[in-house]
Amino acid sequence: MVCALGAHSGCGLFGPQSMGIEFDIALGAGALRQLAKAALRKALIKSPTSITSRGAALKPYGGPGGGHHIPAKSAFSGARGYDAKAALAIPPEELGKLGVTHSTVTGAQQTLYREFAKTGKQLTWEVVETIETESLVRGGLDPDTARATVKQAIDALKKAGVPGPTRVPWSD
Amino acid sequence: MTPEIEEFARTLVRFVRDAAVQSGDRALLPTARSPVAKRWAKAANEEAPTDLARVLIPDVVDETIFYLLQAIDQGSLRIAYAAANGKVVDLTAEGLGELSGWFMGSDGWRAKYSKERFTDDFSDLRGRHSSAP
Repeated sequence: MVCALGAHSGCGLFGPQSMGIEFDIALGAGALRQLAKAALRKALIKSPTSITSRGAALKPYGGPGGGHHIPAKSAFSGARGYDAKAALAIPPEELGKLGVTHSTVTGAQQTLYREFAKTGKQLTWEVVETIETESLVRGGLDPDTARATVKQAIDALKKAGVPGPTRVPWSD
Repeated sequence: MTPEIEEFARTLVRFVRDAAVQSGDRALLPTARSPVAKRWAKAANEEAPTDLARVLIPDVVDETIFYLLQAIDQGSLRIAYAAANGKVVDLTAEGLGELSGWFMGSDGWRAKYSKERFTDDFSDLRGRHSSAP
């Protein structure tokens, strides 16, 4: 049994799973590899979100109108290695395509960061990841995509040498 | 009209008016899952036209103000505010990119200053003093 791969068919790259879109066919290993490669190529072209990350299509913010910073840029005020223009953001058109309501994401961020500020604890990458993910979900993004999106953005900041958040957004 | 005013007009209309209209249109899509979209769908199914309009009015106003503040936060609109004490502040710089959040958040400006109705879509997020994993 061979799974007909699609961007969201649920076919694992390391083992097809029965997801309802499948067919029985006798194929040799070479043909199977070719089929899988072609399907994967097609899926990658069709979907702006890569199969491996399944996150939103992030882009460097670039400048005014660059979209929604992930995570909130004010968490990194004065942080070594942080460049707001180079930091990843969800572009406005991607927010629209994913059906995310920007105002809801921002409102959830503000509320959650302010709640966290009441603990008096230091803001960490882990807390940022939790709050940013929950905010995207509140805005209408599905949880898996939200998790992958935030993880991708935080990983990029870490790779850029940002040691961590410097302040709790909306805390003062 | 000066080129500067023309530029301001274009920025205002594209980043604020058009963005708010587009956001409202997206909330009408059957696939939309945000609280606003769910509220509109419910009201459209259950309420009389006048009551539906009463649900929509504050949401649309809030969405438009959100995009105005977003344009300021992101630096698309550079606006200086002259306070009553005579001090002039650059809203983009002094606002730290957080103005739109202050407006929308659960204990934000709407709750603090508005005398008209609004829906707090984040009240359930409050009272959670330990978001830390």
